[in-house]
Amino acid sequence: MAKQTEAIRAQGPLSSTRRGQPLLQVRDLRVSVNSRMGSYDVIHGIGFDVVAGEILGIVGESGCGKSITMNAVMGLLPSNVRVTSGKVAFRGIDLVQAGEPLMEQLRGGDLAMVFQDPMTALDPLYPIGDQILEAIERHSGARGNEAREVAIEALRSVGLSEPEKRLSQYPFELSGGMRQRVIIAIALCCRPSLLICDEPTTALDVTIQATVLDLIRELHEQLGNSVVFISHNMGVIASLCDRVTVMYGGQIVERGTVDEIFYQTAHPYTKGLLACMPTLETPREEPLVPIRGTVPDPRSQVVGCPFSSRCSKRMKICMREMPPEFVLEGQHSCACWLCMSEGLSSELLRVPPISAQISKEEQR
Amino acid sequence: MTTDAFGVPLLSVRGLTKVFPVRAGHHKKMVPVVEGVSFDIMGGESLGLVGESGCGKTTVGRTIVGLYERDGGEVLLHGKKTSKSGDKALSKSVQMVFQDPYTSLDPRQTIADILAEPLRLQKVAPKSQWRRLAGEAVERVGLEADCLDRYPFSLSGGQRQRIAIARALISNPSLVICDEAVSALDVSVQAQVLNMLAELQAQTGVAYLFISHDLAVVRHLCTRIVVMYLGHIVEAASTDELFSQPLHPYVEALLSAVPEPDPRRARSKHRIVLEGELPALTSLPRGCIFCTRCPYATERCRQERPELQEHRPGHLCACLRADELQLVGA
Repeated sequence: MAKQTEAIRAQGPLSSTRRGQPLLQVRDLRVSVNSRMGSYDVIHGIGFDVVAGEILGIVGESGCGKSITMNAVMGLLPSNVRVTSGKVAFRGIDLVQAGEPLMEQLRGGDLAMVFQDPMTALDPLYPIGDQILEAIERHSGARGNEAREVAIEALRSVGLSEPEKRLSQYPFELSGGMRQRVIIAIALCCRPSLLICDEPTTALDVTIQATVLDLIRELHEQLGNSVVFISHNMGVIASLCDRVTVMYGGQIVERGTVDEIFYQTAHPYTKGLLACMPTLETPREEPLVPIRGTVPDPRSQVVGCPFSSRCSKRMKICMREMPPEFVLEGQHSCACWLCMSEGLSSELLRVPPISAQISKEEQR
Repeated sequence: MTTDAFGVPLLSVRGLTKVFPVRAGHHKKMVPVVEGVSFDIMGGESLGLVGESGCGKTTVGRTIVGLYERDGGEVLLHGKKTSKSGDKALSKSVQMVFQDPYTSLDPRQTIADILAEPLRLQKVAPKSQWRRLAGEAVERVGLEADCLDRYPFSLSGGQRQRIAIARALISNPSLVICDEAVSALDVSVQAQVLNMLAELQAQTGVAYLFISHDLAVVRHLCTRIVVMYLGHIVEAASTDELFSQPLHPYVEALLSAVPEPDPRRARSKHRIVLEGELPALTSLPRGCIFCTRCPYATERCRQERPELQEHRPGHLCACLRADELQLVGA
């Protein structure tokens, strides 16, 4: 394991993963929750890639499993939630098998995360300087004044005024937007090759949200890193992401480039999501088109397609069998029986197996 | 928009001011959270009250119904003054729906009890009628009558918010104040509740004061919109005019910041990024309250506080440069 961490250090951020190569590969990920009522699956064997240099959006409503998936990648699942099967390969390392010491090396270093609530993500008892220096000293090896310089530079890069002064300020002295900038600075100070943002702007006002989104986009262009952006807001996804993955009931129901998802929407759930959101363009006199029913309880074991109970185009087969992902044109694919005639089943076009490195890891 | 026989607004808010104490060192400082806010709500209309967190929109709603005691100004119901801490006439005609359906319903009461409470307090109907009226109320909000004997924990967030709306409407109020009533709901459920609110209005003629930070939602439901910033009204206009021809630079920036669920439009959208952070309420600038972040601010803006004035018929704006600036709508 020491060898692995050495190897990561030696590679340096992004030197080995070229743009367009898969940086993170998730295969057949299953996550289950243990509760007093027994255990139940919340993620039902999903797989996706994050390509180096892209912004991947994960969309879905509460309870669809988008946060759990990325927390599983980060190794941040609560004690009653565990990965039951599957692989998560990040730069040749299987994160599921990695173990805590290696995860600690990666987390905050090469693999960073920004959380939803800027009010609770920072420790209220320490000045923000301590919190950003902790990340720098742990991961970059810089100490003392050198680390301080890095911290100041990181705070400046996220657009905070007077970064020297900020180091000694406590979180309560900053507004929500400024705190979220500090959290982004902490996440980015070690130049991670993958940044996971879990609803980073949901708790912020629209004008502040706009500046934080601009910031994430700018830093992404500067650093060339990959970003996974989790959101329930289709508007935010449209303005930021290159590719989009739509989740429902612990499954991926549709994926494709941002244009494919928005202009050639295939899955009834994605269509519903786009139609039910009031925008500045929707005609005001007409009622909205809601999706009937509610998001199913993850504890209920669904047979067939998880969306079938709410779908207006439901067929008999939908309640019996979960559709495979049908590959449509381009990068577009959709897990809906309605797409069967249009696309080829992914069973036939099997997604490429995980990179050879992983299997080597296993042999070791 | 319908007015009663004499054209008197259903509810008039005149110069509403609410001050909260803030500890500054050893001293208590009184900070105005809402200052000199005036607007009218006509019977049967939907008025949107929009602004970002901390602008005082929730305080306005709570002060109107008397949950907070006001420190200045008047609230007139059908032209009659109401008392500071809310009175019978007010609570009979004005009801509230709160943001969080998980905390606004008593977990130890059944749905029937929750819905009977306004009937008991307002003495709307005799006890023998409560259950029947509660049953009708839940059916009006699209739930089955068999949920009456259940407890809130067994309902989903959307269903709970429906109960909260049923509770607000059961005593036949003429105005319901919805304070971020759909913000805590998933988007697919949010659309159901918005449609339901519009339907109920068409059926009962109830007026809404719809408080929200979400411009797209307010645009959909409301005919008129009031925009607040740091405790002051900066602009008030009909929905169509506010969105197509905003007069205040803050409103222009707000409209440009709304994320657009259309990748091509989102890419080409001209965004006005506001520099700087919100000033603290304890240290508001001397001139225009928006001058610290306004891209068009001049020296005069920093010295002189603009008044809310009518620049076009029915279109009010508090900006010194409202007539000269050519602002872009959504």
